[in-house]
Amino acid sequence: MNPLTQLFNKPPTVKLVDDEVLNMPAPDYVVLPMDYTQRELYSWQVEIGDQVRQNQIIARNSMGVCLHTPISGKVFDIKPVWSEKGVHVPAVCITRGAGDIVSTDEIFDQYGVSRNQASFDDQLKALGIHPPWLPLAIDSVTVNHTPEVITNLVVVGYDEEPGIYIQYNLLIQKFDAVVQGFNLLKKILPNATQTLLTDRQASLQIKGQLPQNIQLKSVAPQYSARLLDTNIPKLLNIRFDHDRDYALQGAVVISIERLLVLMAAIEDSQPFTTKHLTVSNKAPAEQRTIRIHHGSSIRSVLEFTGFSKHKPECIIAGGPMKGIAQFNDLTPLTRSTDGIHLIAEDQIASGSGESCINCGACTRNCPVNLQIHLIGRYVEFNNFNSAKEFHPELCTECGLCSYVCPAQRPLVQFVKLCNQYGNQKNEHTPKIECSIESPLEEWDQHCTTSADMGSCPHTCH
Amino acid sequence: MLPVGTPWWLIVTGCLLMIFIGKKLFGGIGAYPAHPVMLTYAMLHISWPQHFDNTKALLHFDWDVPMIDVLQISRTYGQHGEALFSWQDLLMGNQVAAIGNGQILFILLGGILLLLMNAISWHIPTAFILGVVGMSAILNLIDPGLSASPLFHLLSASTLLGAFFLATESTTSPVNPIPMLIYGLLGGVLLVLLRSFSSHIDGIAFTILIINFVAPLVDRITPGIRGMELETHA
Repeated sequence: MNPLTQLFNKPPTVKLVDDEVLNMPAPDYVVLPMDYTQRELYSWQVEIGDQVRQNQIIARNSMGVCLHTPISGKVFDIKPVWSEKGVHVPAVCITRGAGDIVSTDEIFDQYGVSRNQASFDDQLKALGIHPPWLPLAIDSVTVNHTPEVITNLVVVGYDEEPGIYIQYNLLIQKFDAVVQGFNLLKKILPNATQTLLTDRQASLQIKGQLPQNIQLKSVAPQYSARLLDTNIPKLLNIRFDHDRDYALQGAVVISIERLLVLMAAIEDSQPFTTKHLTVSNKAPAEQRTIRIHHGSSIRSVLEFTGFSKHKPECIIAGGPMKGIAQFNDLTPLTRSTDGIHLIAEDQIASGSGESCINCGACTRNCPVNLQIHLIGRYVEFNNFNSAKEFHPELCTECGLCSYVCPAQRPLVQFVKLCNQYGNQKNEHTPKIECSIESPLEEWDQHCTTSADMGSCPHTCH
Repeated sequence: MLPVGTPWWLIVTGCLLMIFIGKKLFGGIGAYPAHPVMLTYAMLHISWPQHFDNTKALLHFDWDVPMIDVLQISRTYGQHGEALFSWQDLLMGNQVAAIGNGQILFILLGGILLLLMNAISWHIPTAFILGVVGMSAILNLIDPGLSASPLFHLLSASTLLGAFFLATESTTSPVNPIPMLIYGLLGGVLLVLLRSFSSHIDGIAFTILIINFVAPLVDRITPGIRGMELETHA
């Protein structure tokens, strides 16, 4: 677009806070992936054909954190599906059927410890929450890591991605609950200084209402000023390594949404089975924040919110900057998805990859100061060895370089390609053999039309 | 950049040289090491110097302007020749110059427009102008007969054209902020030196070519990558 016209174009004004967060009813079937961003790998504990009840533990990871089914019904398949990160992962598919809710005591029975004897960390894990004061990897747990070593608590009250307003909505709507959450964490993490990190708009609204012991910090509205990867080290004055594990450095960084989930688990013993999500459309600008059950498909969410009327050509899971375009609209949405961004056909940037004119906008905008213009060119001509000298592995994949590129070059994709295939000595031959057709298509058609979904004879083989 | 009354065959030759030698030979857009226009200009200037005399080209026009190249005055008389021109005249383009070179006011407006549109960043033009002002001030202080005053250099011939339109060409200029400043400063200093001591009246083409070739070298001065320092601290 001509930059001159941008001088006069105002961004469209969208109502940021919804009157109420819409609760989406339980879908006809859920698909629960067992692999979340290659960090949390779950192994399932159910078989095809099992009857499951709502909140039953169906999987567990190496740390002991559990995954619960949000609906009662029957396990009708366990099969690889496309996850929202664009990779094939195994998933447990459950159709809705009859069955009551599993009580809290039964959850602990399934977990293998009685509720009274379980430690506080185990209680949280049984309810599906990784205690944020524990390191992420199993080998780090052997180190004596108690909540007392945590010296910093940062609750993030803004969404990094433009177009996602989960934290902002929750902060304004459930402000009292957030303050209670801070008080609760004060008891659990007695040595931590508490900070609430919000954007300017929210900080103006809640100024003066926060208790004295909570510091309020605000960030600028630009996307580059909101990147957590640069804000948290700046705020805490701690250096984090690239594969950041805040707990190892004595810090807890959680979002407001996770804070509320944590509170619900501690006070009401509620398992973690729902997720907030902002559905947004590029043009006309429109957004809605809703709460879904884990494993709902994008199609059901779009139908529930009425956004399917926009007839999106491109569906991006995770927001417009760091999000990943989806192969189809049956991808399950899980605990790691913050939003869906819809783009109509005429709004898609061509991304045709014109040749680089060396303007350097990418390099000057890079939050980690990578020489993106050189990396991109080297990778374009398969010269991975030269590209590696500029440390593409430190990229946080924020997407600013591609966003500012006047030639619309796929720069983040170049960096990803370099990190993925760069070790193969300049012989870049990625083989894509998987079909992009989702195996869920057949199930979706059957399950949403069949009257008795619990006893589905069609796909339960 | 060419004088008034340039023969047509010179322009055609220049176009062909620019497209085939300046651009396509090196791989097209985004791949050439030197500004194609400046490369061609330098080639034409060396091959047919007789067609690059601005004063001769304007000789038969009835025009109320001192018929002498402003830079020739600066070379010959230094500051003492400046009395022939007021700075308003220079700004409004009442000076002997090639096509497009001397319309200082409009070049300035165009440059400001480019800055507003974010087509160029402020580093290179600022540093270039600083380099011209600084170097001409030094020469002027050493000996007023050696060089004209900074304002005269700034408002004469192709200084601003070079600062806003030639040196900022993205393919051949550095991309990091500090290298851009060094690059611009070098260009400004070199321009005044070439104007004062070389055999060419206006050294803009050679200035731009030389700093183009220096650009990849100074662009190695990069800011530290965030996260890199961890490897030593861990």
